Amino acid sequence: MVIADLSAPETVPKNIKSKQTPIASVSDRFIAFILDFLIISPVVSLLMAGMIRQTKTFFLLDAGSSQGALAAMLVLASVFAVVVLLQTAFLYYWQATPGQLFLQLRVQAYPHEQERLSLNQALLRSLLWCSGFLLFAVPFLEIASHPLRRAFHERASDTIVVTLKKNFDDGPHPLESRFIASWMRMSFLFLLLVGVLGFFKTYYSLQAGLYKDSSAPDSLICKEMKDTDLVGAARLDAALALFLLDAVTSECLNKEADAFLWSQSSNVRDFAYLAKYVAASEAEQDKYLDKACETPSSSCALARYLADDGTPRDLEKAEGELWSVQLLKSEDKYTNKDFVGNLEILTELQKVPALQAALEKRFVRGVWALREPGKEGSNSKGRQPASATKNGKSFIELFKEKYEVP
Amino acid sequence: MILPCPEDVRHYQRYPLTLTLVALNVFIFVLIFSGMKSTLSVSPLLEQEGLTLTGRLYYQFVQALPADQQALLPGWVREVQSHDSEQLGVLGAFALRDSRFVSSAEKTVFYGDDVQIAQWQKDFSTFRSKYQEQILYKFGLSSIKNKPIAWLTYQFSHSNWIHLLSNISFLIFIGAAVEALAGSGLLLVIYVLGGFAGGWGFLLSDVHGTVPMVGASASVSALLAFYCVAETRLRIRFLYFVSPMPGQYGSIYLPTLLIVPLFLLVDLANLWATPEGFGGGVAYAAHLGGTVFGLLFGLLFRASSVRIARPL
Repeated sequence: MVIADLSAPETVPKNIKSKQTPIASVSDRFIAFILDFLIISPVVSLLMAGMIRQTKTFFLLDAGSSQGALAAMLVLASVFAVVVLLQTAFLYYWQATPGQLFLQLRVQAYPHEQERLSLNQALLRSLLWCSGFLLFAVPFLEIASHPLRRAFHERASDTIVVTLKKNFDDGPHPLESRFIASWMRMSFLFLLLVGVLGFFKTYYSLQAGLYKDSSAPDSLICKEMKDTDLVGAARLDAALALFLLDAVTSECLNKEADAFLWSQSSNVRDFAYLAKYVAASEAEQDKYLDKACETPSSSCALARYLADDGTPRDLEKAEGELWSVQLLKSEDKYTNKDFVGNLEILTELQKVPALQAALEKRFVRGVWALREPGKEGSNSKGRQPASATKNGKSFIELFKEKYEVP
Repeated sequence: MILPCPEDVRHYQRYPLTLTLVALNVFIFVLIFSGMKSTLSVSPLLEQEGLTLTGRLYYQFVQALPADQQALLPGWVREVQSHDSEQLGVLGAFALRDSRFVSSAEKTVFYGDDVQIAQWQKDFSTFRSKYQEQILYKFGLSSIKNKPIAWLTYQFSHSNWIHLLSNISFLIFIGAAVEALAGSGLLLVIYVLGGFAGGWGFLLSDVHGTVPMVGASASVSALLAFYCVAETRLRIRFLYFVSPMPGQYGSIYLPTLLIVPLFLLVDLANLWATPEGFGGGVAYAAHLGGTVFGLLFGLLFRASSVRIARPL
């Protein structure tokens, strides 16, 4: 054989009662660990398969699923428990794990010699061995530094790993031992530092509310629409008006329209297509215009008005109750320098909570135009026109009152 | 990494069929990938919006299914909420794997945004025709297309270099072992019939699947299982590699039955741990089909060997 057979099954077992302790070498123990992993992990995976599938399904349907996080923790806890139990069983009955059996290693009681390990020793050793991984395997560095290659889990359970091979380990050189021990201390300090920083950062985030449940599903309803009381056609009308006011994005309007179109009970499909037409890219606009105008309707008239070749007559055909139509009419009045008419409509529209904030600029613009000298319908001679009053107050007074202007 | 390597593969002239099978796999792989590059991956259907839209349509498709057929769908499909676009995207990815939907989607009347639906049906038609033009689709085995020749061609086709290399590395080592143990004729029988059994296992687990299965892994699983049962030696040589440091690579004699947890049990665990409908690119059911065949064939081989060896 070109490469030496590390399992060395032909070797004669060493008498463990001889004076020198036949310490197992680090490399043999490492390979035994790899073999254990290869043998035990499929068994553990098989036992955990159902739970793992359920956990994967939770995360599949919701990447930030708290159910998934809880299931993942349960899986980890179960894996921990199964590994501890399997290892305990192997140590108790065979005095070695499967990998150690193949590498001719045995776990024995030390310093008090016993025929075999007690159940307590096997269980404590397995439990502490598994716990070592919670500290990122740093405690296992002691296998390289301890004179008898005994890590914490071995000293705590009064055990030692010995080899049955002819050649055994002499333990580390004192210099090597000191170096690795100091390296281990440094690793623990680093872990402690990370742990303390992590603790305070997490605590701060918790206080700041960063862990508040914000995992609302990526809804088909637009989140930019603040007024959650609005439902049905009124919601879509508000979304269209807000889009025309540049208060929401085309993506938002699209979502709102989609919510209607993909709902089987929708009865305002032509209006939803109008919204899609407004939000669509140039390449798709014609298709949505055709859909909005499949039957003559108010939405079709509004769509035609919004199209390049639209006329005010189209706007008159549209349903006047719609907020979006009223908004367009107010714009039409502003363009035609009927600022008072413009402000009257805007004042009415501002009674709609969903539109109130978005209409502020238009309102200020209207008032500003009203005051601007030389503009038709404006207060050119420094006098409030009678037509500009609303409930006994002029728009200027309303403006001052609203914005607390002295 | 650990591989069973009972024979010294440097004496390659002893394993003519193993090398022929390896060469055939490589040749067919080169043949497949020397063709035109597929444009399938740039289909709008596979983008997030396309998947969400597909999910919406599939949701309607599922709602229209009779209750008994709905019950056959994976549990998570029935849990998807129609207002959650993230879940609809996942559902869309699943929809493209459901042959019932794929074969009827172009004719089904859906409600929703008619403009989007018309565009989707156009994109879907293009996607479907491009999909069917793929060489891997032609060579692979799936529920939607299982021509007799595909049962054979799938065993020699691979989807990428890693897939090919992992399968042929096993084929070299375990193929050589089986050829030395049972002869070239039986190696061929196990490879081909193991592949058939793997194909059968795959189709059983993926009754309505559209994604074709390719690869020699079912045949390799059959060879592994066969060797595990047929080999009478208690320990065989395994090659291991942990790192290039001295003592961390080499060979080790381990029980032959270790093949079961190392390779065969892993397939069963992975099959059970995968959410229904999402294979993750590996056909574990095919591996298991091959394994079951290999185990049974190995038992037969062992029984017949014992009978021959026993004096009359």
